Amino acid sequence: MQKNVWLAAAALAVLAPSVALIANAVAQPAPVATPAAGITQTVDPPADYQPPKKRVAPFTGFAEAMRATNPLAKKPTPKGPDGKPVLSGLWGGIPSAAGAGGLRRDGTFEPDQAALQRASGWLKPMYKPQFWNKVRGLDYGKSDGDPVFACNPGGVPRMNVPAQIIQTPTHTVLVYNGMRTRVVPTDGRKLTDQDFDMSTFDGVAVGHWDGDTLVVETVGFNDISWLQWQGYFHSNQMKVTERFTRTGDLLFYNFTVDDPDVLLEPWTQGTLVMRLMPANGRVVEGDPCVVLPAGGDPYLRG
Amino acid sequence: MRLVSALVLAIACGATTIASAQILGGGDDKRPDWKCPASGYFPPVYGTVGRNGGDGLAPTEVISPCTPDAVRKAADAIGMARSHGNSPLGLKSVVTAMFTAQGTYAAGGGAPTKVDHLDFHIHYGLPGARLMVTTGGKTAIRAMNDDYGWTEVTEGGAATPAQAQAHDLYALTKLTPYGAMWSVIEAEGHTQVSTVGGKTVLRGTSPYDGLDVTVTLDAQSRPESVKVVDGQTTYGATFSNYRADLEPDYLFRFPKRLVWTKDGKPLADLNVAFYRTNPYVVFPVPAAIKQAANR
Repeated sequence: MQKNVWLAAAALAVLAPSVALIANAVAQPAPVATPAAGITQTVDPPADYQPPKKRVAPFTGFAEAMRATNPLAKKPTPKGPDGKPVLSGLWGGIPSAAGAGGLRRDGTFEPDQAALQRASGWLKPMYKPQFWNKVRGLDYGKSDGDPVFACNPGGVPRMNVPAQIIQTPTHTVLVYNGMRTRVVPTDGRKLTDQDFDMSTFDGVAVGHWDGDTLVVETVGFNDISWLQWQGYFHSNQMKVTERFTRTGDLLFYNFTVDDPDVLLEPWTQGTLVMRLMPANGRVVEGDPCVVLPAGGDPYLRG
Repeated sequence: MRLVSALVLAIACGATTIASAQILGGGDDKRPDWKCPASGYFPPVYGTVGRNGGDGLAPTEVISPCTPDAVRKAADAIGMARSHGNSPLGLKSVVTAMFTAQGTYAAGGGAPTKVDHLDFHIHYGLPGARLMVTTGGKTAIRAMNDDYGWTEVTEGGAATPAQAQAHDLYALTKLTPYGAMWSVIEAEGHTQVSTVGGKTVLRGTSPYDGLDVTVTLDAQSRPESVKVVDGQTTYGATFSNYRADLEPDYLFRFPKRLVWTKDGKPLADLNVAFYRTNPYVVFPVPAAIKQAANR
């Protein structure tokens, strides 16, 4: 038996903000979830539980825990007429087992958030050694160097999991926070030389199915966007391969960055897990971006 | 004011759960009513936090219910313990670290000599480490990643196998406050808490490395000294002059001075000049090192 009373309370407490802020857009009306939805992890382990042989990175451990223990993963995975899993729907965050967001001590929100975010990133992109100091320099540059803070799009893969997926027989539409949208052909076409020559934030994508996993390959990037806020830059030769796998009412998403110009090897940080949200929600346009003055906030290093 | 600016940034950039946190405040560190199993270990439980710039959610490991309060307090005292609200803390909020120091270092088992500077890059999770000691303008570099050990001509450059040094280099990561704390955190319910001479002493062995680590805390619950027993080898460290301004704005505490010993002999006496918590440090294992290890 799982002692999920505390988790249920935590889920209720965290649900509204995490759902309502599917984006900087607010879902309207705010979806309502049952306390059981998203209750996640085993909190009543066997008496003889022993740790694994090796340390487990948080992204890996979280995805494994979701797959193994989240009741939403046990639900049947709906299939469409073509026999492929139905990815269409609104996808939102898993309520945190750690409880609602908030301030533990006055004045600690930014450093606490930054520390937690950084500490989750065990598996870092392996840049070529000549770029290590560049990454550190961008990272230590506070918020000034981050292209997002200058109101550039986050781009792919930084936008990571879409807030909504709309699936058709020939295309899959990925809708992100603030209504940024990608239309991914899944009609069998291949990437062309022209696609590679594009210079865009979101790239040019094509998709295909690998079993029950939708694989989206994207090329044609500029070199302005970052992979993440810690100064992880990329070249315009980057190729991103994203994988979407639905298991029950959970969506497992990961991406792999191939960028031989700057990386020693392809980079996959880990798997993000989202859950299916009630269908009456919607993603709406985000607020206009405001470029902040140089200097920014010292807590938002990178 | 800072909260306001962070809120603006979060909204402007599409952060998800970050913004919602602003309206809450205060509170202590409540733990859920989870019971520690008889084994003394608890499976990892993860919370999620939003990431800056709309980068999605990041999972973080929550404190184990097996962890003694004294460990939580010590982790909190140096900035390792973080939370997002009236919620269980995560204690492993320092995964990587790097520092530059001046002072003395004993290379190759000899007597300590003055060094131009010593740079130590650490990944406590992988684990991985790179120790770069510059003397007379020349830099000697040792690196390890999990079970692999090697030396480098330049940082990340041409490598030579040095498998035997990997374990020793890993032990040195325990001679930092965070490294020592990782051991007593990972020992969970097996960590012994005692009082010796009026000071709190934590002793534990991480199931992931088998090193016997003893941490003595100062009056502010910060690691003051460390003893690491690795088979027949005993390492020691003392930490003093903890400073918050080595990593401004992030509420981390790191000592300005570290003194290391190995089997009772002086190993290093270091004054920290530069320090960063959770920086970009990587330890790619060169193909030649993997091939040599597999032969």
